[in-house]
Amino acid sequence: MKHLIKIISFALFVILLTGVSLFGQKTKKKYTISSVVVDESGNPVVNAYVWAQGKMVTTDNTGSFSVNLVKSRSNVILVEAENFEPLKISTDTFALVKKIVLKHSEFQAGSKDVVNFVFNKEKQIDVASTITVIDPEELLKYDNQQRVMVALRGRVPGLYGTNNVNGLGAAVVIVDGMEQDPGNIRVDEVEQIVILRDAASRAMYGAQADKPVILINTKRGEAYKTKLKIMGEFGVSDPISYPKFLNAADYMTLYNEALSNDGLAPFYDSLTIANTRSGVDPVLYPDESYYNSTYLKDVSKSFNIQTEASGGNDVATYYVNFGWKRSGGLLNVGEGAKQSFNRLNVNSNVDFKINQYMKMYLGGSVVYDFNKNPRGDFWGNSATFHPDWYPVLIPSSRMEDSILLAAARLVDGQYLLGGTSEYQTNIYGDLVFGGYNNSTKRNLNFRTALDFDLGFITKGLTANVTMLFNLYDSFNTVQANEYAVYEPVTVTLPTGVDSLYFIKHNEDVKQGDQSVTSSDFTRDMNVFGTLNYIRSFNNHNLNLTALAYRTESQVNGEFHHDKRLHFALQAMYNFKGKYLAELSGVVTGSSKLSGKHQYGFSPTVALGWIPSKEDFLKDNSVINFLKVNASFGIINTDNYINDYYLYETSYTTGGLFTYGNGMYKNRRRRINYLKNPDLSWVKREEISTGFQLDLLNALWIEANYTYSKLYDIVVQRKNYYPAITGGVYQYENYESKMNQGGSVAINYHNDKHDFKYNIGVNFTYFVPKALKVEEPKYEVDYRYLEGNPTDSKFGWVAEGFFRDSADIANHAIQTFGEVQPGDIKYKDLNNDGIIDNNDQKIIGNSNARLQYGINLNLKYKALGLFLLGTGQTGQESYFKSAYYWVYGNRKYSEEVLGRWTEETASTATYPRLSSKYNANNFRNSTFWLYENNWFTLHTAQLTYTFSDRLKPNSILKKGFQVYVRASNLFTISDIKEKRELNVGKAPQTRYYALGLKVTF
Amino acid sequence: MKKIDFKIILLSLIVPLFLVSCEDYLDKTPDAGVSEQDVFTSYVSYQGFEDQMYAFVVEPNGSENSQGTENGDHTVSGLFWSSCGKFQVGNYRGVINVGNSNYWSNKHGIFNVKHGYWSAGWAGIRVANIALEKLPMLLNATDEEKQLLEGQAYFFRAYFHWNICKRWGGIPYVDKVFKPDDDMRIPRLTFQETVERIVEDFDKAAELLPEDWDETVVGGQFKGYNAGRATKGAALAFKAKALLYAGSPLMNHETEGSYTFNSEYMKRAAEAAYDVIKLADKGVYALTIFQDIQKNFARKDKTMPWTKETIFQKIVTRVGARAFRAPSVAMGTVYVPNRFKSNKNTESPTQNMVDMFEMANGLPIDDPASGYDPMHPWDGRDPRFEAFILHDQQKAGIKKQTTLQFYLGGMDQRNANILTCYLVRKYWPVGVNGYDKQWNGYRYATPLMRLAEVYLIYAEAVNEAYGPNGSVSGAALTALDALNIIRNRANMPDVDSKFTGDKESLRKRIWNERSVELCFENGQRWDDARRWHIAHTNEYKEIYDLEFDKKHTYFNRVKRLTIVFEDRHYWMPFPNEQTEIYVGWPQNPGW
Repeated sequence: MKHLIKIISFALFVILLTGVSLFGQKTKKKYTISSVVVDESGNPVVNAYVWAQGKMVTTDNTGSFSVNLVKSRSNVILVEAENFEPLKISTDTFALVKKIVLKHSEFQAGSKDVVNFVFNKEKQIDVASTITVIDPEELLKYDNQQRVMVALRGRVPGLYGTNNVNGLGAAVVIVDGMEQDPGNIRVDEVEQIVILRDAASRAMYGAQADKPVILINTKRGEAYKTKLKIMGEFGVSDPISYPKFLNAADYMTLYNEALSNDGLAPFYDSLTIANTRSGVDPVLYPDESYYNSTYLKDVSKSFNIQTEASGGNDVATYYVNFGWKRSGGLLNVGEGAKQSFNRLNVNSNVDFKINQYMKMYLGGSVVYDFNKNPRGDFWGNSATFHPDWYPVLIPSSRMEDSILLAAARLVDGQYLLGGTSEYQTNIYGDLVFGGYNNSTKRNLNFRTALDFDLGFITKGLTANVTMLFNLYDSFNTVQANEYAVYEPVTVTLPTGVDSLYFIKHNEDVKQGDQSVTSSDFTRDMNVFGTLNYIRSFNNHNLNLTALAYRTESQVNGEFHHDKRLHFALQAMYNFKGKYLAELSGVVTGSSKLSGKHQYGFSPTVALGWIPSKEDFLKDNSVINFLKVNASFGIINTDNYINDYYLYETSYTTGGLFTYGNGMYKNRRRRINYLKNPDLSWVKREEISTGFQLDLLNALWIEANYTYSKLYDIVVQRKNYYPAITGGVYQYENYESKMNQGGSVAINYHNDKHDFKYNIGVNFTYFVPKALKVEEPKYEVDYRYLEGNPTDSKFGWVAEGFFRDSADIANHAIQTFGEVQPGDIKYKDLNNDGIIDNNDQKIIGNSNARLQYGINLNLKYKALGLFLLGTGQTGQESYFKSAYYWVYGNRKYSEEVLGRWTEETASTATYPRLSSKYNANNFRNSTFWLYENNWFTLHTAQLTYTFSDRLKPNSILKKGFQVYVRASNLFTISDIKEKRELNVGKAPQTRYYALGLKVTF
Repeated sequence: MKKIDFKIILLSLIVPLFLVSCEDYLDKTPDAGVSEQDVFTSYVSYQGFEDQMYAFVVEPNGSENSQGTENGDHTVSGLFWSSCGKFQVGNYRGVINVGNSNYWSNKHGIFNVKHGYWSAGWAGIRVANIALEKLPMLLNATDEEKQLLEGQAYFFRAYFHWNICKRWGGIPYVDKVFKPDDDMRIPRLTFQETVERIVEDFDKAAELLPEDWDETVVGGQFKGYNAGRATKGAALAFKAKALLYAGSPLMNHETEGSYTFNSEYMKRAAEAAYDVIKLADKGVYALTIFQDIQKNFARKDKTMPWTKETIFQKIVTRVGARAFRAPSVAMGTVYVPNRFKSNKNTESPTQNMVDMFEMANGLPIDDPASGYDPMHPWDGRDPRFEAFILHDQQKAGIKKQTTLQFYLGGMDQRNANILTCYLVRKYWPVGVNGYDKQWNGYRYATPLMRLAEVYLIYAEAVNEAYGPNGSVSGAALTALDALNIIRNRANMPDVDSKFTGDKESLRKRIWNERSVELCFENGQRWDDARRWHIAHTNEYKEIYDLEFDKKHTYFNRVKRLTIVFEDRHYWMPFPNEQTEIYVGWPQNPGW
């Protein structure tokens, strides 16, 4: 509640600030203007937005509007409508123009379709390389999910997950020209997201461009559109499932079974087990389970509020965004109940014209994370602490020693904390008396740019200089208290009566001060300059860019700053808008290479053709749009050169060496690797081709095929040089691998009636392959990675359990330790009678091959429903955490119930229990491997947009929306329960939220 | 006017920012890394570079999971997947080629080509060659310092070649630092050719290295604490051993075509051994008295097991429980059963080994006059039997529970890992076990060369070259004398006169003496059986044990297993990737 008051007062404060301009000038003279908005053919444009002096009204069914203005203020009005080009006119000319005529936007060529590549801009239709552009404003109409990378999920063909384009790995995310953590950005703050899907589109990003590149361009103020947006969302997260561990009595029984399997005597006697099972005395026979209401809340709550203000005019524009996101934890005890995760962010920028030649941009953002956590690791401990170790809470009435009791610190005035000499960490004690651990992360970003209009030299020439800074630090504030725990012991008195005593371990010590630990610090600086030349000669349209780009990143504890530098020239050209070409040449420099290899040259080319603009298709009523394109490029990268100075011989100073009995010590000096002056760039070669097709203005189909090869990867060829070299190698350009596949996206929409719908699906399928691998000579062919998928998982092929000793004797000898009936039997792949490393082969792969996304968007008048889901097939996972691999003294989960015993031999789902490490059973094999195929409905949102129903000049007409939203609503999978279960960390949740958005 | 202003702004912003400062922007950060200059221009850091070679020396009893250092008829293991187990069944390929992920297959095994003699040896050779190549860089050093550095480099270059060729046969002799572009296809030499190169380097080392580091200026700063360093004596002793091997039947057969001793090599071996004995006569070395003999192998006082008898061993710094029962590399993993809180894998002595201990009267047990009583098989034996081996009803420690139960049904007899009824005591001081827990000061090391072995080399070489009563020219010490010095130290009488009449009779006693004195040390028995060309014989291959009841009312000799030893097992196989690189490096026969 306290937080809510804070939020409301903050919101009021912001409204007041901006409201000053709205309400402060009421005494000025007023006048009214009105007009009609029509399209090129004279039809009225309904629901067009007319912006004037900070207000907005919409046109009615006849296209007409009227608005009251103040005389002394700006006389410019801005008229916008969906599918039309915006128009700016002065009220002074109203007398002359009877009607305001809006032009329809051309497909992919309107003012909203300009793609901002940071270094240059181009209309989407004229881009020859393969890209996908996302307009967050459009998304936010029906999907209010705010994490910017998550917004890409299921929407971009070729994208696995949220950032892996074409299976090339995690993308480099460039926020406003600088690689930044996209976690700091909310969808609301973003103007445009551009996913660069081939080498040609990425080339300008130099050595980084070997990986996928995703551009996130944040919002700027828009001239004549004054907006104040407030958005709030309140949500609850509902845990899906908790681990299921055995109760104490079952655990004891099965642990005894494990011991007996190992030929050892039982550890728990039957009386202890019986007493534990009956719960006769929970102090002496504890049976603790941790996933209950003593420790946990049913749900955790969170909220997210944001306000955004923007506006301006021809001279200057501004944009401010402020947000606060807070989510609580699930713990219900002590400091745990106070657990919270907070993020405050402010992002603001201004653009202003210095004079007719120069414009300046200043921007900055601060993101401040502060999390409150209890000490102790509840989730980790609850998954490892056995139910029978000690009673967590002991009623104080059980303690007869009044002196000890008087000195004890009680929980809730009535409980002592349990423990033993071996286990002195009490889960409850950690939460109530342990202290806290608050972590803080701060990210400061500062951006400045100067734009020069060099039209006085030659028309169309501009220049830009941009400097970007990012500062990041983090630290933890810890208060670490100690607390006493009490171990119950029974002592038999001489009288023969059993009596309960307690042994105290540790002391109750509250620390007087906090300690600040683990500070982390990063400083990044990017500088780039561009020269742009945009000019059309007859039907030849030219867009030239020259770029110099340098980055520097300093990380705490790293001696060498990560530095990069590249120079680039890019030409985008089209003839009549039908034949497109894009040529780039990039000279990259690296501090990881030296001499003549310090700089590399990366050329790329992309070609495109738009047949639908040709005469033979121009008036075709079925094919509205068709574009085909292809690109080729070679990109030099130092991404896979893992350290600096690999080109020269390396020595290190090693550990102390001691002679005799430790008197004479000297530091060892080691030689690590040899110099290789020929060490050069790793190269990526990529071919990509595809098409985009629009049929009947309703069906959109796009497809793409990409072949990407990475070669000259730097490795040490340890398996190549004869042993006599002594094992000191050089780093060489040697390995290569490729990635090949494609994507298809299909979208069908119908918005001709009140009931509008849009359904989209996309499929992505890529296969990686290792072409050349530095690997040892194996005795069997199936152990080689070369020629197989790079993400292959090697393991043994399980053939069930050994039935009896005859089965063991008849089977090949397994060399991982002694086996007995109930142990996993492996297949002898090379038929040599021995199961060893030569009997492992590829049994799966770790990345999904096929991923698909489905989205459905329905709208009836003001009510909308949106659903988004993704799924994958073609990936295998091992379930091998301590929850599934239960041996030794690990905590027993319900998984072990299906264990092998002589009686259950035919139905067993789990190997026989073992009280020791069992190297035979617990190794990567098909036994533990699961096909990880799933479909998840990530988002469902029901939206009611009030502003659609309001009167044209209502104050809330700029936007007024309420919604309910759910995330992670359900999963369909054979291994759904395993997928949805977290062990040793907070559970996965389903999220339900209610939200409101208002724009003034 | 205005236009000019903007050009200036542009030039002053863009040009300097992006072009001028780019020249050295990507260069190496000054002071980053350790350069060649830092390493090779001062004695201390140069020595630090050479200290790597000491680290590359392999401790044969210090490797994970039952290494089977004996590999012969001295010890056997019930763990067939341990390298000892693999040796027993002749799976030498399994011994050298074990994967890294395989817990049970001796991932740090001394014969594993990724970790042991093989790779550490070649790495050491490389360091030695670099050290020799970089000597001209060392300007600010005394002549003595330069000599010490050069001497150690020669010593280790020879030592590492020796350690590989001892088990794999003749190899290329690498005496240069390979550059990646060099032709590395150097052909294999014969065993004798390899030894000639090894001897050459040991000779250079013996010239350059001191008899005692305490007497040098460098070592004098740490007087009394120089144990472990390479010395003149070590170079000469290993030279003697290399020559002895080169003249032995297996190696001589390669060049001379017959499985006989080569008397030329025997003469040279005897002379080299005598050079070491002369050092002992000068007081540099001395045999430890018998009561203290375990000090050569293991201690409980945290000090290094190093005596006047020790000539060379790896500097092992592991102390305490870590040295005894650490999961990775520890003594306990080799010779001590799990119930003493070791690490489970146990190699145990065979009856074959026990039978080699003579009676205290100096007669072998099969001699009718020896007085050997099969009903009291452990009584009245060579004192070394009790010093090196534990048997039934003996206490392995102090507490009662440490009493060994090897009778049928006894606690230790039921242990599947232990195939025989004996345990190795040589490295296992009383009290170092899970019952007594006196392991805090435990430290052990396997002697890689000790004076006793030098006497035995001398005895064998002289006997083969000149007969039992011969000696090298100018020496009074005969083969027999040398042998008796070792026997007398163990309170054993001189070799009975029945066996001293001719070279062949004495040869048998010398072979037996080596087996008894040097048991469980660095696979001496296995190496000897190979070089004498007897390892394929049934006497060597058939492994026996005793079975008896708790009250010792009967003793049955039972055959436990037959070691697989074919012709190809005389040499270790090379890793395939090595022999497939070029034709000049053929695989050993049969692999």
